[in-house]
Amino acid sequence: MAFNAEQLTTTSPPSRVFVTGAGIVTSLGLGWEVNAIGFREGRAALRDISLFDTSRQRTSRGGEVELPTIIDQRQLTDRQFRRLDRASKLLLLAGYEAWDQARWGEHERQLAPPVVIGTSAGGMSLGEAYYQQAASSTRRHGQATRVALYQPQSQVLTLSHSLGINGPISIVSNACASGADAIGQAYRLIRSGRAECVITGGYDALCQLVFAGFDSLQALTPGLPRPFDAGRDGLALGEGAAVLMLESEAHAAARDASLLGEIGAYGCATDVHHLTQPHPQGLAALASMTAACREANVSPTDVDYINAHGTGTPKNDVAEGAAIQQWAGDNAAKIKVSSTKGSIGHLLGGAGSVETVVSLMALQGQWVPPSLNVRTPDPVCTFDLIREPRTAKVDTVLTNSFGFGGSNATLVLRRAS
Amino acid sequence: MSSPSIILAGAGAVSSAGWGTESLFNAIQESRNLPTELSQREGSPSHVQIRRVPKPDTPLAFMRNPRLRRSSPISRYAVAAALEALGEERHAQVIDSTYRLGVLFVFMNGCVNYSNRFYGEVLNDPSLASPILFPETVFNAPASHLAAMLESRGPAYTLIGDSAQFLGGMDLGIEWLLDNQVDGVLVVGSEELDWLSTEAASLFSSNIIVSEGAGAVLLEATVNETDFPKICGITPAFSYGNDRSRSQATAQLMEALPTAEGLQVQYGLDNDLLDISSILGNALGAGLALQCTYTQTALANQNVSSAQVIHVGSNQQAIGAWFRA
Repeated sequence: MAFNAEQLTTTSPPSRVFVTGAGIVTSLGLGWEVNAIGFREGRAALRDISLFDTSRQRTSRGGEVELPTIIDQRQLTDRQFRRLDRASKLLLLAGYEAWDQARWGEHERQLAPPVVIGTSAGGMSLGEAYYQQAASSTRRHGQATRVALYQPQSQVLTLSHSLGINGPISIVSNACASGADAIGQAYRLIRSGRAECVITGGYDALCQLVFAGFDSLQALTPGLPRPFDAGRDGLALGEGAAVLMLESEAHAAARDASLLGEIGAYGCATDVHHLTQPHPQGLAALASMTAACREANVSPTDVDYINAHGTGTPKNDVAEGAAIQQWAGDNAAKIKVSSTKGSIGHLLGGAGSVETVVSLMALQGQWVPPSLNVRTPDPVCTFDLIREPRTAKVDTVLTNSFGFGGSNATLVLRRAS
Repeated sequence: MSSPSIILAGAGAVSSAGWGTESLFNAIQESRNLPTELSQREGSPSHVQIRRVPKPDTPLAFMRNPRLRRSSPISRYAVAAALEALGEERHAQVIDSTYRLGVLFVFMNGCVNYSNRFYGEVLNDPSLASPILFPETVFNAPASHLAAMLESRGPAYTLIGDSAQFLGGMDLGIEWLLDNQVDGVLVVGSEELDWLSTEAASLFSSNIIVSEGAGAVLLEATVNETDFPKICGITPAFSYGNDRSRSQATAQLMEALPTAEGLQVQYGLDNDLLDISSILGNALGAGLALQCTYTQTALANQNVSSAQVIHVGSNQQAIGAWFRA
């Protein structure tokens, strides 16, 4: 990152991009292992939310994370450590696991890797606290700290500080596609040769403003989220984070790194149909899937599994299903599709990154996670909707993320070779 | 084949000086003393000085677009600046899909008007909070409105950061151009006034004059000779950290910039160089966008042959860029 017109080099062959570390935090638990078991077995982890009052909402359930009582301080100062907000803790826990798994150290610190992270709300609960005090009192005590720490750069800088790195930071806020777009942008930095290593991912913590917002839209289910069920009636919100360490093929090979998988391509498109509703035929979803597959040089016959955006809202699932149908054509019936949002809820800015890690788990473990709570599949499901955990050969995965405002992103992931 | 040049093919502005780059340019050239007022909220001890964007002289034609009907000023300013930067010919090409446009929306505060209103309703009674307000609180709502209004189906990103983020957006836009993902990139920085952010800004500076507005630049890559100003370079973003203080980051930024010549537009340095926020007010995340817009206009008008933009952000990064006519 940084541009100098006098140092533009001729185009070199694109580098392959590998994932060498991944960390994940969801309501299923902390870390790769517990989450892999949870998704592999089709567990659900939705519970009554304790973080704020939900008594006046249509639902009280969500994918709330049980944070550990002790978190490693690493290179944070005591002051930074004392000030950690919930969103920062989620991001740190995922970041630590990814860093440790990749076995990065001083060499990577010297490279000052870029950090590209997605979020839709940053540290919004601190913003809420600022608002409540400002609206109800003339006291200014603590307000400057709340203002400084609620901003998304605070959480991402905290991650950088804790790991002892000082590379440039990019924060992508494309609503529910934020995490996938951040990973896509990080992938491109390495693919184009602009960086050797990048830290990427996404996070979001549950907060009252966003919960009430989705409730006001009647987008939250009063029961269970049922992605791709004919009678689905809304989503459940969740929280969490996932962080990935990406490396060029050359960098990973030089240090004989263990490979969790390959980012094969990234495609994105903008749906201009409506601020909160997808085009009924999923045209932008189709465009992002098509662009990603073109870049990866894969056809529908090559794709074993699609981790769908699959929110469980009536309009999203039918639009995504229509896009998959059109993209896959005659091969639709052979493609396994599921949404993991029935297990942990919709993680908004963290969704794309968490679902990328779930897809890596599927590639590593050779299984596909189920869509939970499906009673009768929607007629749009002409594909192989996975309703029970299944062992399967999985070499190539697509993961879709579609957001409010029309941000559509697709990543192609491959088994490492 | 020769390497392409990255050009500033257009610029647009809405600021406390008025609507359009000409208003911005003239106000700065004349060091105009723009009006201020006190932002006072009932029950608040804060009395913060603000500089508002004046009302437009004529009704804004683009407000007829249904997507903008409920939008707040941050989106309106952005659309006005973007349309000026893009120009009618390019806009027509976007609509008929012969020009692949990328949109990069950059800010620090974002949609504070609607966030304030919506969260106020939530605290009052969440079961009655308006579903009309909530979507407009989402960080990428302005980028979505802009892309929809322009009928642009290419990449549309919202980047958040401190007041120095706009050059990071330009850097990303250049990547999109060099990777041939798009034919042009609109980089837009926009902010709106609200007591929520105005009082917050005053917590960090007692004499701040908070402002609002939007700046936009259209980036293109070309191998042809052109009269448009060129981007010669953008420095790395020097992030602040435990091992790099804000002043150390600033020193590293100054070392990374080439020897200064021509126009220098700065923010956050303690020196005598031009700081346009002293005229316009501090437009937060839109401030650097207006620095770049002013610089583009000065270069395009042939007032200067080269320029530097330097911005030392509040809590994240220091960054700079250099240009020539």
